[in-house]
Amino acid sequence: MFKKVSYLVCPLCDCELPMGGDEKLGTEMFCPFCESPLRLKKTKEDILYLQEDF
Amino acid sequence: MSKSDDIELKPLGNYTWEIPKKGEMRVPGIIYADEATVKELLKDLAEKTTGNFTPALKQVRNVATLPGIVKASMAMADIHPGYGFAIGGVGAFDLNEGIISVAGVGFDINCGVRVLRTPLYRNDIEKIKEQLASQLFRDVPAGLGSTGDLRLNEDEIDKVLTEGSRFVIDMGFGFPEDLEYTEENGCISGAEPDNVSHRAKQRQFKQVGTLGSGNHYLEVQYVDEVFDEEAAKAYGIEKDRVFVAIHCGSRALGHQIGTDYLKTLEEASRKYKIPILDRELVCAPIKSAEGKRYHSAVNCGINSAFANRQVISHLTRDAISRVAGIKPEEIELLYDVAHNTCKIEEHKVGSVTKKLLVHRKGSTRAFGPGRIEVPRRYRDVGQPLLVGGSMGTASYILRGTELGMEKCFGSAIHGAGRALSRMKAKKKWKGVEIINELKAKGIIIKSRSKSGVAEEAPGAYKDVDRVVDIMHRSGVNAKVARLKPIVCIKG
Repeated sequence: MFKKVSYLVCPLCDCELPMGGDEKLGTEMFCPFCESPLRLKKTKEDILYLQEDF
Repeated sequence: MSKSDDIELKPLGNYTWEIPKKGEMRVPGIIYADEATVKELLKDLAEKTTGNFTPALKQVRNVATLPGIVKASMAMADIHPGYGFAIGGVGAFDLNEGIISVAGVGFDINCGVRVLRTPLYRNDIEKIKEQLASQLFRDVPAGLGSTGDLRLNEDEIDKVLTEGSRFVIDMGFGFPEDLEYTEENGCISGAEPDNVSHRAKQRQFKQVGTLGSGNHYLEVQYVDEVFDEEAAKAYGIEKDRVFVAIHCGSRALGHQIGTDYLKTLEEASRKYKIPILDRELVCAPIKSAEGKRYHSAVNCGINSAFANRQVISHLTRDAISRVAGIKPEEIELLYDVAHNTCKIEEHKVGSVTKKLLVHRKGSTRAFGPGRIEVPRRYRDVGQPLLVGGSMGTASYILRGTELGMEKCFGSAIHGAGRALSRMKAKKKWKGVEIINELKAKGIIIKSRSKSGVAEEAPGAYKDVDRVVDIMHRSGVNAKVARLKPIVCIKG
């Protein structure tokens, strides 16, 4: 379980990525600014974050 | 015919491949690639079948389904997956029936490359390169969130957004002649600052004249090899002559425009019932109110990036002239060209010349000989464009060709493209090791971030020679010269 968010921040360039609400853990996406491939992850505290994934 | 996941790739010869029109596609897809690149693209397509990740070939296909697309959805040889559109992607749209897309421009609006031609040669620089590197590093602000000495208020930012390079040249940053050698003469029309949020403008107050971070850089390079003597003569290129390449964009302003309008165009996609295969392809009809507003904001971002590179050029000229003992005006602008834009351009479609909105996302405009937009000095040979490699490898100056105008709306590659993620590069290399290795090769790297150097290690990028050769052999771009780095200031 995790709380849905309207956006997450790219760890590489700080760009705010809009979330559609239908993402699942492990979903892959691209940062629209630096175009880095990112993957949706969560912390032990169930907080969502994005991590670079190539 | 190569096939995977219902997408077929048909070889057309000359390093050109077609995704035949099928299903919801309104036009075919065209990709410039060699056999090895095609293999990689198909492997990606076969392996990445889950989640939201969209392989590059699917992205080319998805763009081909957008309303009003003309001729084909295209991708240059540096194709790799990006946000919505593949990087290296080109999509031209009919002004009446077509759409405008945030993903087709990218958030770093008018990210581009400017090349300065110095009167110096490799031998002149070798003696002073340490001192020059330190001076450039001191004078040109670089790094994430970097700010410069130039502080502008909101009225002045509005001037930057509407007048671009012209405004900062009037402030004393550069020479009027620079305008002739900048795409759109450094100022695109149709930029209305009211369509840019206060937050976006605010983020630019201290950022005009700064490189930023990531793969942005300032590099002092020398000409290693000349391939096309006629074009080289027109461009003032000779073996061993020293050039400076500046790669950056519209910084946080472009970033904020993208963020703001992604929401607007998401709503517009629903409102106008635009069929999109990927949420990242949200868009609005070009002639809709939302589309016009976004287009105007993009033009503001374009002007802002031109002004940014203009101020950096001034700082660069100042630094080089002080260290090398030459006058700033002896350092001329070769050309400034964008690789993240959408612009209205005239192109021949069949036997008719039409105005189209051409999106180039990680693709450089490369107009061929005779085009009125190309500076008179270069008009007989076509427009110059710089393709960046990586620190320690080569960059290329190419030119646009007539075949490129006919086949791909006068477009080109923009760089080599990453082969390794930033994270993997940081695990594989240490910044200090890269700096020392390159120093042993005679290349000086300056960066505020050692891990940033590791991220941009030469091994983290694809082979630029191979990517350039594909475009050259296809005939849509032509090689003019290869340049090698001497000093690199990393953003």
